[in-house]
Amino acid sequence: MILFVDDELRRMESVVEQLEMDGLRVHTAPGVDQALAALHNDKGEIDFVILDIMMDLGSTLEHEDTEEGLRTGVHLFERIRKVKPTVPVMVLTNADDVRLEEHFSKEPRTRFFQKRSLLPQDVAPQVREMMRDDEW
Amino acid sequence: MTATEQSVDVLPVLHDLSEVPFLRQDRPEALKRIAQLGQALLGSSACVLTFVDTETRRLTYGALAGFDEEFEKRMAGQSLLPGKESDGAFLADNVDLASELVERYNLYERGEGVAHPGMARKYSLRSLLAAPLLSDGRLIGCFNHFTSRAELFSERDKTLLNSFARQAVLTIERFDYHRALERSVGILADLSASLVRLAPEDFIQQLPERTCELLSSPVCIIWKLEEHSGKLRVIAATADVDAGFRRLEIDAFAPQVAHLAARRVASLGDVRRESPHYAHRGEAEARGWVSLLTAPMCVGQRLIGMLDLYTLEPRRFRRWEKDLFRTFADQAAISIERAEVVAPRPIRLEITKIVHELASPIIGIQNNAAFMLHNHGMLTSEKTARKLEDILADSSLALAQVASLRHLFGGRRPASLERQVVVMRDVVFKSLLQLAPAFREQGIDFRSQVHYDPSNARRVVIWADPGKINQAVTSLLMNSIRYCGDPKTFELVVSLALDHANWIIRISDRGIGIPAGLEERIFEDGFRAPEARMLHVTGSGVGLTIARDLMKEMGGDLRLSNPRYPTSFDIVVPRSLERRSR
Repeated sequence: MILFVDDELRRMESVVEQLEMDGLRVHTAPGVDQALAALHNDKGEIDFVILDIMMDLGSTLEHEDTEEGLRTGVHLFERIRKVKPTVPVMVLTNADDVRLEEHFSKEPRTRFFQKRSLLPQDVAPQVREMMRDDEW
Repeated sequence: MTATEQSVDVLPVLHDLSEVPFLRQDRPEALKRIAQLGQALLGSSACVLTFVDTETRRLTYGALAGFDEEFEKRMAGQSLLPGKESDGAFLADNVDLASELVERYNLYERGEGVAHPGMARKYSLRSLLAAPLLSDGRLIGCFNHFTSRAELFSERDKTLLNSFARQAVLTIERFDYHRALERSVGILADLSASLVRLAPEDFIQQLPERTCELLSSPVCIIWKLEEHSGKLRVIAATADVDAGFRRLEIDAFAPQVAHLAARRVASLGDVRRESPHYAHRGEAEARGWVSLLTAPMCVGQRLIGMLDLYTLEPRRFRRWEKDLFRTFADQAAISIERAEVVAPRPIRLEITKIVHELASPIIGIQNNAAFMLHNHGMLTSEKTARKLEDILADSSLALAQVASLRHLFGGRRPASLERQVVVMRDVVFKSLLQLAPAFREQGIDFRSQVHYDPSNARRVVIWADPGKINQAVTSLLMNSIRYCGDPKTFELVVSLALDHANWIIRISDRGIGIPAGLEERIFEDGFRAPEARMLHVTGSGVGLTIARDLMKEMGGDLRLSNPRYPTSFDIVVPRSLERRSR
């Protein structure tokens, strides 16, 4: 099951619906707190994460310096890795920052995508490829 | 504003004046003027002036600005500080008494933005500015400026602060040893567009003379810092500053700014001979003047410039004055230390946010359109309608962000559409419908919690640009959605009514409301309520400014008619635009 973390789920609704139409199960989390709650309560179902970057801090990251939410996903990624060190993570963001891309390119089992470059029907094939890829 | 309605962004000034020559002649009126000036000068919502009687050594209330009349009457002439023989005790008592005073009168109910050392200590506020204030070569008081939001400072601000702190330390080192040859005091004031925007033009033109009066200085030059170019330009000056100097243009953030300024002044030749009291760092350095004061100036919580004050005659200071100076230097140093850890964030961050706000709805449109195309013929009509609704909402929001971006870069608004026949109730209804998905996203049931019945609204037809009304309504509705608080208890009522010469579109919501003291500031360009930051609400803080400008262009207005519970905004449309039936 995919954990889909995005604070603008209305705008990503078509992506979620397309993933489901393509046969994938999706659990949506509209923020940091809900995402971490889903991970902590997970009984082995979550095997993929789609992660937005620019989001509210939630109560969990309230005291961390996320540049007013511009780098929330970076901090959340670290938390996700603590709970699920090997889960594949697709970073899917509007953030147009080359530093972010470089940052995530060093992370194992992680790929960085701009939202604008992936149409709803393109996401499922990418997810499947990342899940298949054992070389990571 | 009432005395108890201070809030997070309020930056009051506690100001202690004594031995100012002109105050002896016309004390009540002069003090009142200074309180108002202090309030305006620092963009503060309140100012308290205290006066030390040097004979009795009692601290008394001189004047207040920004408080209600009842409070002013109660405080008039009250003695605040019992005199003490020991200088050290005098200072300690001053702080303690100020704490007690503020607590006793419950001046700052919320405990933030309070500006005196006692309260700041209690609420762990950070000092961004503790500026000595001098008159006639003598220390007469201080401006204090505290905030709990030091993170608002940019790298550039920090560089300036560093420079202030170094100068403050040098000042302390020097003033004990320097012997005066002649007395010469001047001021260089640098103000950014923030203050200029806040103050009317005639106020800015009067400011140099009034500042000279306040600080007993012979010359004052007001600079404007142009954010986009980083240049300082003279926008107002006392009468004896000649035209050549007024045309000066200085790169405010060049490392060698003092030398640059000195060279520019030197190249003007006769200027110096005619006006011997120019006071900027380059000139002061060349003449060996001692800096007694280099005070950062803030508007809102952003550093916008500084006041410099130089003299060749720093008289011997008394012990308690030296203590005060050292306190200022210490506080400045602490400010720097703290400012070092804050993230850079000026306009770049605002642009990033607006770009994000713009990209998000476009991504939404792209996703929905691609989804509909990819699944063409397979979607139910309900599903299709919902996707189209989302596309419409996102188009409207993207257009609003385009306006914000244009505004941020100082671009002109596009020419108005040709005026058209507009049915007001329909344009309001259209704006509401466009945002239905945004209400839904926030957990608000559009049908039961949003109240507007166009069939009951009177059919008013006007000649106007419907886009402007649409944008004003959209901007207000977006704020209602963003600051809705608990979506379960949220309610929004939109009504259309006649009020004398105007039609009023009133938008009232039961959201979190406008904090006390911020009723006017919400219309300021780029202002974002503290709640916006606390709740991590995205936005650039220009929506209301743009909306009000648009309505004013039509001869109307946008007003806050009630700050909270409910929060009501009135969009004022003049009846002169009405298209009467023949």
